[in-house]
Amino acid sequence: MGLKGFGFVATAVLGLSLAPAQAGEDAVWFYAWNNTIPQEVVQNFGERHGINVVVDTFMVADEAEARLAAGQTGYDLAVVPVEVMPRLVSIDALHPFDPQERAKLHGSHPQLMEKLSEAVPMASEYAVPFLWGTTGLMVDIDDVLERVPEETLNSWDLVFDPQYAAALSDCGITIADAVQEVVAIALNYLGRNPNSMAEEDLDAAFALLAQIMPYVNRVDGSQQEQILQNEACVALTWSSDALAPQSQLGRDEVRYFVPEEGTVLWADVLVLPNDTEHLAHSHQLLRYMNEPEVLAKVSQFSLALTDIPMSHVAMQTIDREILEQVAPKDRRDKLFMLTPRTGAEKRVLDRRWRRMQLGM
Amino acid sequence: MSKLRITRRYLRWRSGIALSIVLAAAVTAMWVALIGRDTVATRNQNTASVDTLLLSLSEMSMAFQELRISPASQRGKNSSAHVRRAARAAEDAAERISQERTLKTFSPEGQSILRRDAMNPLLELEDVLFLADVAVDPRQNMTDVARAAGMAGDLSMRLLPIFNRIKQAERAAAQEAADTQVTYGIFALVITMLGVGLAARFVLLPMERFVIRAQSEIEHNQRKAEAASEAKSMFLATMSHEIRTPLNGVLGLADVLNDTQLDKEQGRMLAMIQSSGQALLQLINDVLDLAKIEAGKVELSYEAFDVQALCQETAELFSGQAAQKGVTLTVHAAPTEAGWFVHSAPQALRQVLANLVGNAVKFTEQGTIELHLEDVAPSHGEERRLRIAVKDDGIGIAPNALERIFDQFEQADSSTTTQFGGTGLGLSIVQRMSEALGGHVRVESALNEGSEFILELPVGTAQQEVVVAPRHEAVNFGKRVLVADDNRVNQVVARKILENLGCEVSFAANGLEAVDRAANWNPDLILMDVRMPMMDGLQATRAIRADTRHKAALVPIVGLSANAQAEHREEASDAGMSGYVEKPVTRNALKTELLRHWPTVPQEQENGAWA
Repeated sequence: MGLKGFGFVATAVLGLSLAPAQAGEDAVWFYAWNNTIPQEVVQNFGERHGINVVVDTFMVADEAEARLAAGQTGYDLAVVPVEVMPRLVSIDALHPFDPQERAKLHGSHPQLMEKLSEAVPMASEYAVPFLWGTTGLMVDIDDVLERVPEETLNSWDLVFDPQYAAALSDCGITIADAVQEVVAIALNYLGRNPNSMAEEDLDAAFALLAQIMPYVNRVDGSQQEQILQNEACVALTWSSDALAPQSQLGRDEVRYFVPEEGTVLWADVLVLPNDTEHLAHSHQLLRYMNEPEVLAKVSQFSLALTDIPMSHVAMQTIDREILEQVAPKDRRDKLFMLTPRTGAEKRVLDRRWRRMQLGM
Repeated sequence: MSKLRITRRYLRWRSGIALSIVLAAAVTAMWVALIGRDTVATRNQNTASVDTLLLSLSEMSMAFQELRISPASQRGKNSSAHVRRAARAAEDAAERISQERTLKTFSPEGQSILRRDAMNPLLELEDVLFLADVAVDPRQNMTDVARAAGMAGDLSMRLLPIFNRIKQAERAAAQEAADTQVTYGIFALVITMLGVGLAARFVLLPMERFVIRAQSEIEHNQRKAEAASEAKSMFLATMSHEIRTPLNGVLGLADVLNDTQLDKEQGRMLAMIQSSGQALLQLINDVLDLAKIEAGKVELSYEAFDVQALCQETAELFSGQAAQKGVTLTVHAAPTEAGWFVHSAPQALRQVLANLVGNAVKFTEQGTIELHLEDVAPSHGEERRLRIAVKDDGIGIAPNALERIFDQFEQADSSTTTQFGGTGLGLSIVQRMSEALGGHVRVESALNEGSEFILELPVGTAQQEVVVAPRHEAVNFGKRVLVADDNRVNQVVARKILENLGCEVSFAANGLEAVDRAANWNPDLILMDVRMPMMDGLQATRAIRADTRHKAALVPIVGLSANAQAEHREEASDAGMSGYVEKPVTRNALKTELLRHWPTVPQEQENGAWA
């Protein structure tokens, strides 16, 4: 109690938000990507279980990783990219799921699950698949076609070829702050192993990125916002982020492309933070989030795939056109998953990533 | 004794172990306290370092925010200065923590966070500081400053909860250390109590048992010794008493024989019988005296008397003996204001002086013996002390013998007995009696130059009394005396003495006979032996006194007993006796007692040989 009290004082002094730690017991805390959990889903849980779900969000995966790594999160359930999960397991930040609880869940999409298990073997123990998607190019098609030929829209050339990048610099390029994804995409573009940590591969990838860096406006997690506010016309970002303007705002000029060279197939998973005090709450929320109807609503809202097969009746409400855009049939075999990086490898990537942005 | 010594060593060994346990416990407690202090101090230091980091990081993250938004503005420049200062503090703190020496002192949880691979806070902090360097570098363009500040700000924010977590871990560890210290303290207390318990169980209690056992053994032995001593005294007293009875007969008859017509040779032999008998009686009396002293039964009867006269009398007692040897025996009394009439125990003092003077005469072949009487300290009041010195020109005492001549059966050397006779009891009695009188006796002597025995004793000054000189005239009572005594010899002695005093004598052999004779014979006086068969003297006396039909109920009854102690006198008086004469009965003692009862008897001229 003394420690909690102290923590509160320290938080107040430092101006830190550790709100979950002081949350009342009558709430279930859920830590997820921003803009992924619809209000309706939150409300329904409260109505059904008589207990509120409080959703705390993050903008980039590193933020979530750091927060979960600090421990004493106060979260009962959290979402992280699957490749981040092993690092959190390595520092004992996660709690494995009870196999009995897992058994109560709905089955996962077989093809996706296979890819996931291949990339991250320990996923079956610590993670429950939640949302899927790809990382591609979000483009303001009007602005872009004014500056580059149409055929470049099919390729990563649009951002990685310095001549196109230079041409687009006046309307703006923005890149998601996700070093592993961006480096993997660059390596893949260069015809190298996207998950390579070899020095020469990294040198090549960062050289490629450094080349276009002068034409990049920002590296952060607010690509959709920048496109919508015309601060940028091309964004390297996630499918869920990129599809929203067209599908939900009717901004038809904003399109999402999966380049023909192939790209990252990402998977967000549900994990149990190690400090969870109310495992019953965690399991309650886990089961709820796994319900096909709930997943369908989340999918519809976030424009991400779920691990519920498309054949499921609940998925009928999903706009199949959009799903085709996330993972076009002809490019599905060019999709690859990220394999986990160790802490040290991640640090190497982080440091090069930051220095590269500063032109060093 | 050897058993005792072993036990003592054993107990020392045990108490040593017990004390060691207690000492070890105390040292442990001290050590625990010191360790605990160090632990708490280390925790505090670590917490302080982490606090510095937390404060610097939060300062920096706010300043980075300003820098990111408006790197070129006045606020941006201000923030840049903040970052520079906070970064320096953070760098110092990080450097402190990063040292393996310091790192080792963190709690296990703190260490695991600080040493871990993923999201290692110290390594990430390095990047924050690197980015801070870029952000505050005036040579950098504003875009890079903003980018660096942005990245550094994000990273700082992410590090805050991690460092906070370390701090909490340290806090918890400090709490745990405090709890552990309390546990150790309790442990030390328990060890101490255990030590005390062990000491009590294996040392104090056995020691107590040992002491009590030893004490009871000593008491037991003491009781045994006392009983043995009492038995010895009893034996001596009984033996002496039993010897004295026939001896009284011998001496009494010798006394009577002396009154008959003897030729010169017979007179000389009778004198030898008398002197040998007296010597034997003296020895028995000495033994009895010693036995009484040892049994603590000496009863001194205090009265007023002329001490100078006592000295004179004692000297006179030995003057004949001295004159025979050609030794001059003189008495000197120093002048005194208070006079020589004092209050003390004359019988005891007489016994002491007689022994001393007797010895002096015995061991002096020629020269003088001086008996010197003087006051030592104040001559007035209760605290008056007398000194009576008996100085002779005798053979003296060797220095090595001086120490033991007051011991029982000790003489200056073994040849003394052969040469001078004696028992070696005299000086022992002298010393005991002197002490009983509250004084002490010492001796100064050189071999062949004579000895001086000096007696010092406290006395009280008494009023002069008129002393009636004893009458030594011959008497003829002409009365009937009944003698009740079971001893034939005593009967004969009594008859001879009483007939010489002009009395008619009848006898009773026991108490019953005495009562019968008293009633039928009408005696004028009854001599009643206290110890008799069938009915003792006391009972017989009560019976006679009770039968008031006869004249005998009113006549004087004089007790005869070898036991001169006051309690016996009292007992006799209680039974109804009118007087008490100590055995052996002498002519003079009996005559004095009879004169007490018949003071008006007409005097008769007597034969001078009776004097």
